[in-house]
Amino acid sequence: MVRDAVSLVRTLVRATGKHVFLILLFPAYLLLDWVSFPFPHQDTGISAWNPLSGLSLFVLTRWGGAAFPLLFAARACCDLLLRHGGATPAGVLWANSVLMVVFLLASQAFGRFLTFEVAEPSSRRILIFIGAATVSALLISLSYVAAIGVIGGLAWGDFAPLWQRRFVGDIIGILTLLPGLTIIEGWHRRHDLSNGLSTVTVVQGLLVAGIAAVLFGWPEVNESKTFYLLFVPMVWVSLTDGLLGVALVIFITGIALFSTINLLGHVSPSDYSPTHLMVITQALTGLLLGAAVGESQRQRAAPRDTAPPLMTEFDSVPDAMVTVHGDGRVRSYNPAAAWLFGLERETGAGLRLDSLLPDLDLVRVRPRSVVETHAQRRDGRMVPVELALDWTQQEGGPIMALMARDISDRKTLEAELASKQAELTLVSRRSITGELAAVMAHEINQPLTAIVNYIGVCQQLAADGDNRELLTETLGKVARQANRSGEIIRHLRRFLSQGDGMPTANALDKVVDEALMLIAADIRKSGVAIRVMVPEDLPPVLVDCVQIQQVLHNLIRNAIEAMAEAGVSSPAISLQAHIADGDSGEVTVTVADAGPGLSAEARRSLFTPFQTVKTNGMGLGLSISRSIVEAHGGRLWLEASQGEGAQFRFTLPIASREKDAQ
Amino acid sequence: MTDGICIVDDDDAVRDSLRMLLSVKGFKPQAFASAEAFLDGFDPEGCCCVIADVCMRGMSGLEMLERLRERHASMPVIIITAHGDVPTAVAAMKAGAADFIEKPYDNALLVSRIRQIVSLRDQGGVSSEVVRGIRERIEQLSRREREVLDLVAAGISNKVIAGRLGVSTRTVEIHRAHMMEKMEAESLSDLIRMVTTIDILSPRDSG
Repeated sequence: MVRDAVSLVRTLVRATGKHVFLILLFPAYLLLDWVSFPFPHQDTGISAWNPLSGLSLFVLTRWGGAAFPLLFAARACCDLLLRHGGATPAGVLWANSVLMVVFLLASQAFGRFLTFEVAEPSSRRILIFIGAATVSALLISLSYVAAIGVIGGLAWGDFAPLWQRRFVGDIIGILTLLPGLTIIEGWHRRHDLSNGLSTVTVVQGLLVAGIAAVLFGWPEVNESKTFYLLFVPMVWVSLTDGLLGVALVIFITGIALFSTINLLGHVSPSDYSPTHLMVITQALTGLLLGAAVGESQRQRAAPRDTAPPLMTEFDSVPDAMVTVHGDGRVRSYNPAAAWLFGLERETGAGLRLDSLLPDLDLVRVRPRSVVETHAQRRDGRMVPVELALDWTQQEGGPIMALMARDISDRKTLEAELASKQAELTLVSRRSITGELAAVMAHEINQPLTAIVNYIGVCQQLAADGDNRELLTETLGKVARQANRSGEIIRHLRRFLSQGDGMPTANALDKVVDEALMLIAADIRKSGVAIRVMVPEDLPPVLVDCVQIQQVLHNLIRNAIEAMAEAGVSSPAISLQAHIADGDSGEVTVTVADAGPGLSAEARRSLFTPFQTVKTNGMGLGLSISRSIVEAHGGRLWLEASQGEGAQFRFTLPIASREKDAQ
Repeated sequence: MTDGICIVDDDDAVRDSLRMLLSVKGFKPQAFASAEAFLDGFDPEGCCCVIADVCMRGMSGLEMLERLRERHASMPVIIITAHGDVPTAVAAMKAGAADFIEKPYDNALLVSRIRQIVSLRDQGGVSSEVVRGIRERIEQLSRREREVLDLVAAGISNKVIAGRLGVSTRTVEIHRAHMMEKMEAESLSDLIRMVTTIDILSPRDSG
C-alpha cells in the first residue's frame, strides 16, 4: 500500500512536472499556518512555533524569486483569514511584508549554504547548513520584531523576550522542515529510492509516527520528559539510511508536534519550554549523526566505485595504461592512455573496452603476452597498437590492467621495408628473367637448327623427286621440332606468369629441375659436379616457383663462386630435400658445396644486405633469399660448419590437402 | 677425297637432322651423342671432317677438340654452338677449329663450308691466295680500325673498347662497321676466322 502511494505521488509528479510543489504550496501553507499557531503573543501575534519559516525558506531557496508572489499571497491570505485579535490587520500585514522580504534576502544570501545535499553527506556541510539556518533565523526574528516595534506594536521593554521567542520558533521551523522538504521534493530525481520502500523503512516510519503520537497526543504523557524515546528510532534510521532517513524522521516529528499542539492542545503552553530544546537537540543530533554515518559509508565504498578515473601514480608513464572492471568497462587510465584514445581527462571511465579496442578478442589473448591490434580513437581514427594485459582480483571483483603502445611509426617503417624488399626482389627477378631469356634462346635454337636441317633434306628430296616416303617422314620430323619450339615458348610464358607472388602447390623436384636449367650454363662452365637428391614422392610444397627458384639459383651460384675463388680441385654441389623432422609440415632443402666454408666473420654478416665476401657481388642474394623463404613461412640458415664446405638449409611448407584440392 | 663426316651433338633432333641433311647432300655422316662416345669410337681414316656442338652434357666440344689435337688427329673440326658469344668463338678458333658456326644456320651455307674445308684439307691447307687476300684487307684499315679489330677479335665488348680507346661507344660502333666492311667479313665469326687463319699461319706483330 505504501508502495502504491509512493508510486502514485511519483506518477503525479511526473505528470505535472516540477510545478506540482508550487501548486500544492498554497494549501500547504494555509494548513501549516492553521495547525501551528498556538499561543500567539497577544499584541504581536508571535507564535512559539514557526514551521512556516522553514517552508518559506525552502520554497525561496528552491525556486528563487519566481515563487515570491505566490508565497506573499499565501502569507497575506493567512493574515487576513486566520489571525485573530491582537494586532491590527494593517500592522500584521506590514510586519509580514517585511518578513517576506527578509526571507527572500536570506534565501538569496544563504541559498547556497541552505541547500541540502544527501548524495554526498559530510559533517562539514551539515555544520555550514546549521550555521546558515541560525543566521537566517536571527535575521528573520530580529527584523520581524523590529518591524512591529517601528509601528508601535510592542513595548520596547518586551523586545528581547519577544525576539527570543520568535528566534526559537524560527530555528525549529527551519531545522525540522527544510531538510525533509528538500528530500521529499527531490524524491523523484533520486534513483536509489526509485525501487520503493523496504520493510525496514516502513517499520521505522511506523515506529516514529507511533512514538510521536503517544508523546504528543496522549494527555497523561509529559512530552518534554519522554521526548528522548524518539532518539531510539532516529539512531536506528541513521544507521540504515543515513542522512536521508534522519531528515525524514525529524520532519515527521516536527509535523506531528506542530499538528498536535494546535489540534489537541496537549503540549505545555510555555513560550520557551524544554520541548523546544528537545526538538532542537533532536534536529542537530540527527543531522550530524546522519552526516557522520553517510560520510563513513561513502569512504568505505570509495575504493570501488569512485576511484579517480585518472591514475595519478602513473602520470609520467609514457605507455597508455588502462584498468578495466570485470564487466568490460573502463575503471581508470593514465594521461598517456587519454592521449592515445583521444579521451577527455575524466570522461573515459565507464566506457566499454570494446569501443576503445574493437578488434581485441579478450578470450584469445593470453595474460602477459603481447598482441597487436588497433585502438579506436574518439575522433574516429584507428591507431595500430601493441598491448599486454593481465587480470588481478580486487575487493570489488576482477580488474584487468592493460598497457598499450602506439606502434604507428614502427608499422610505417615496416611497410617501407616491405616495399623496399619487394623492389629488391623485383630487381633480382628481372635479372633472373634475363638469364631465363638467354637459356630459352639456347633451348629454342636446338629445334630451329633441326628444322633448318630437315628442310634442307626435304628440299633435296623434293629436287631429286624419287623418295616420297622419306620426304613425308622428314616433314613429320619438322612438325615435331616446330611443336617442340612452341612447347618451349609456352613453358617460358607459364614460368613468367606464375611469378606473381601467389604460392601454389608444386612438386619440388620440378621446381629444382627448372632452377638447375636456369643455371645450367654456369654449372657447365665451372665444371661443378652437381648431385641432386630430391625424391619424386615428396609431398608438394606451397611456393611461388620463381621465387624459390631464385633462392636455389642464389645458393648454387654462391657455392659455384665460392669454390671457384678458393680454387677447389674437384668442385661439387649436393642438393638434397627431405621431409623435416617432427610434425612441422615442412620440407627441408639443403645446398652443400665442397668449398672452404665461411669464416666466422663472414658468418656474422651473412644475411646483412650489402655485405659480401665476393669480389663482384652486391651482397643482396642471401638477404633476399632469406626474406623470400620467410615470406613462405620457412627459415633459411647456414649449418654450423662440419669440416669442409658450406651447408645452407631452408624449409618450405608442405601444401595441405585442401590446397591440393583447389 | 673421303666423304666421312662425324657429327657430335647431344641433341637428338639436331643430330638426326644434320645426319640426314649431310646424307642427302652426298656425304657419309656418322653421328655421336657425346664427345666421349666420339673419342672412343671414331675411325680416323673414314672421317675427313668433324662437326661438334660446344655445349654438351659431359665433355664440351672445345675440350674434345683439345683431346683430338693431343692425339695428333689433324682432321678439321667445325664448332657449332647455340651461344654465339665472342669469347667462345675466339677460344674455338685458337684451339684449332676450322670454323665456328652459330645455330641456327643456313644449311646451304653449312654444306658449302664443309665442302670448302674438306677441299682445303685435300689441298693441304689454307691457300696462300686466301691468306694474302686477308693480309691485303688488313693493310687497308686505318690505325683506329686496326685497334678495334684486335680488340674485337680478343672478345672484348664495344663498351670496354670505347673505355680503352678513350672514345664513345658510338664511335667504336662506326669504326667497327667500317672495319667489317673493309675486311669483307659477313659476320663476327667470319672475321674471327680470318684473323685466326693468319694468326695460325704466320703470327702477326703484336700491336
